[in-house]
Amino acid sequence: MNRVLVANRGEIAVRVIRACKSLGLETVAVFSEADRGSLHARLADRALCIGPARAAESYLDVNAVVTAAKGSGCDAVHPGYGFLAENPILAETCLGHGLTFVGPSAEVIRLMGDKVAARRFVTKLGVPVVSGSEEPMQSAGEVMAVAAGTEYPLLLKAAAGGGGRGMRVVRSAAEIPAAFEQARAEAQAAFGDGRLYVERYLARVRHVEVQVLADDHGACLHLGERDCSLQRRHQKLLEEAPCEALSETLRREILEAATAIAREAGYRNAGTVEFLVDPDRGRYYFLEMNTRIQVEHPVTEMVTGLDLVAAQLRIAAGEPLAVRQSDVRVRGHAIECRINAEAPEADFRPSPGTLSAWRMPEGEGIRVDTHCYLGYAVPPFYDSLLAKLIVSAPGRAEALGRLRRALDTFVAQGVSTTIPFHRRIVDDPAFVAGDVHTRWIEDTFGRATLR
Amino acid sequence: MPIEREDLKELLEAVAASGMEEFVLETAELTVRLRKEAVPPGDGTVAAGGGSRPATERDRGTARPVAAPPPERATDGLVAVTAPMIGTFYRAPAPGAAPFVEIGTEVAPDDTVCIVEVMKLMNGVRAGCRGRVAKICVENATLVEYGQTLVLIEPMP
Repeated sequence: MNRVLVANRGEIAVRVIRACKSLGLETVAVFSEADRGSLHARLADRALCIGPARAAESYLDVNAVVTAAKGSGCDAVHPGYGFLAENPILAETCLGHGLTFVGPSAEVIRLMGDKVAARRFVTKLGVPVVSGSEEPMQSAGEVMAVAAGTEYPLLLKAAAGGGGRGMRVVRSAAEIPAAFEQARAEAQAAFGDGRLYVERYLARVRHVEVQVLADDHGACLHLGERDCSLQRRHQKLLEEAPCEALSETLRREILEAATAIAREAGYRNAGTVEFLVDPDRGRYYFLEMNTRIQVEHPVTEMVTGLDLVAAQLRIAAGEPLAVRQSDVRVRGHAIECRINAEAPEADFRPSPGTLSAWRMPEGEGIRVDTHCYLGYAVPPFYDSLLAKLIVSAPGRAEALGRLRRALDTFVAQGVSTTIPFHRRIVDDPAFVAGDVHTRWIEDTFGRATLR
Repeated sequence: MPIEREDLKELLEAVAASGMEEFVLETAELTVRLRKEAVPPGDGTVAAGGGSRPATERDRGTARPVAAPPPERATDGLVAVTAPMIGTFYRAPAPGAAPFVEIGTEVAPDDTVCIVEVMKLMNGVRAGCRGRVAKICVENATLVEYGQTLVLIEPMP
């Protein structure tokens, strides 16, 4: 492997280019017309315009990406996250053109991308899933029949889903018909697949996920867990490692379940197995497996000292993992805040614009992953992530102190950002005590209190 | 297509002698923009830059400051035919076949002037206007970016 095409934009493209450079690999960036001159395009050894601003005609165009890779002499493609990262067709097309896809096989992407199939797969391995329908629901009537045997609230969920789209919470039978139609229409529009299934909705649970790494030589290990309970509309806002709410027993069970799933699926490269966890009852339920590098991977890097993106590239190149499970040590605590160009006071409305001021915090235990700079114009076409602020310290309390100071010195003007919102979270007594759940942000910072 | 010092000199002279007020040349390596100000004849400005930036470079306040025209219109009435997608540029329908156009060929709007190949799919690129081919900006069988200027056409009524 000599030259890698980075099939993404924004901070993750910058992150992948950095990892490539650290391994002595050449890089080719691709960009849309809206991203001309952006940081990832300038950092790469070569940059190619692959289409207009609309992602469907640029970053989501498999043919354009593969043509750019072949035409520029690349031998590998790193998809980052989002866009084509979990598109099995890109993995297949790369393979067909002699390009190494930095990720798992198309078969595994397909298996885990189908939520119904993935549930069935992990159930066979004895991993608990949230009770619900095995088969996709054909009608609202079918949902009602399933609902009759269980308790409310229920969750209607797209089989092809992700990112909170195609999801509806149902609190009574009367709500089912409307919710079913809405969720189905949303799933159809977002994923081209209107299949829904229904499951019990767990109200006060944590989102805990396990980072796994697997190579071509039979090694499959975990790098500990992350707590991503702080979400708004199923979008993560703040992530931590480790999850302090877990007992040692529960943690071990979850980590073992995650590695078993990856191993049995024939997983290769970096992946994340997500669970809903009820620490009080000592219960956990498989949610899904993401077959890519995640936004929040830096918190794992900070507590393990391992470079996950470099590991991805090495695995893809066929190298065996340099660490064994017994070498993996989780040290200290790390927290990541997603700094988005959004207006928290206006229901987190996206806020594109030009950065008229931009100063990032610095110091020990502080890391910022970003593609932004003073004068950068945040385009309105893509996701609103500006930067990831990551802090690490020997313990959670110290990490929180460091995070407060870092947020206080983070200056971003010209767009609205989530910085002030994070600052409020970090001061909240419940958050400081670690007493949060996946609905905590919505419950605590309802619309009225955000103003 | 590498541009030599001699070429630039020749270009300057030709532009100076012509009635053109502005002239832009784009190649894979650089952009040359010549513009006459209200100054003595022959005094043009040469600006080179942009690396392999195609004609669609637009200053969004973030991009590198490379002045270039929008894709539809080059300058002095020359119309740029740009790549509709990233791919490999071919001048002829098949290896060894005659090129679609040469400099001076008269074209109708629907005439194919070149091909951009993406994953074995040949996409014919049309002239888009009636005119005469003034310049072929890209070497045969090279990778072109989305929006890159491929051919310049001098429109005719």
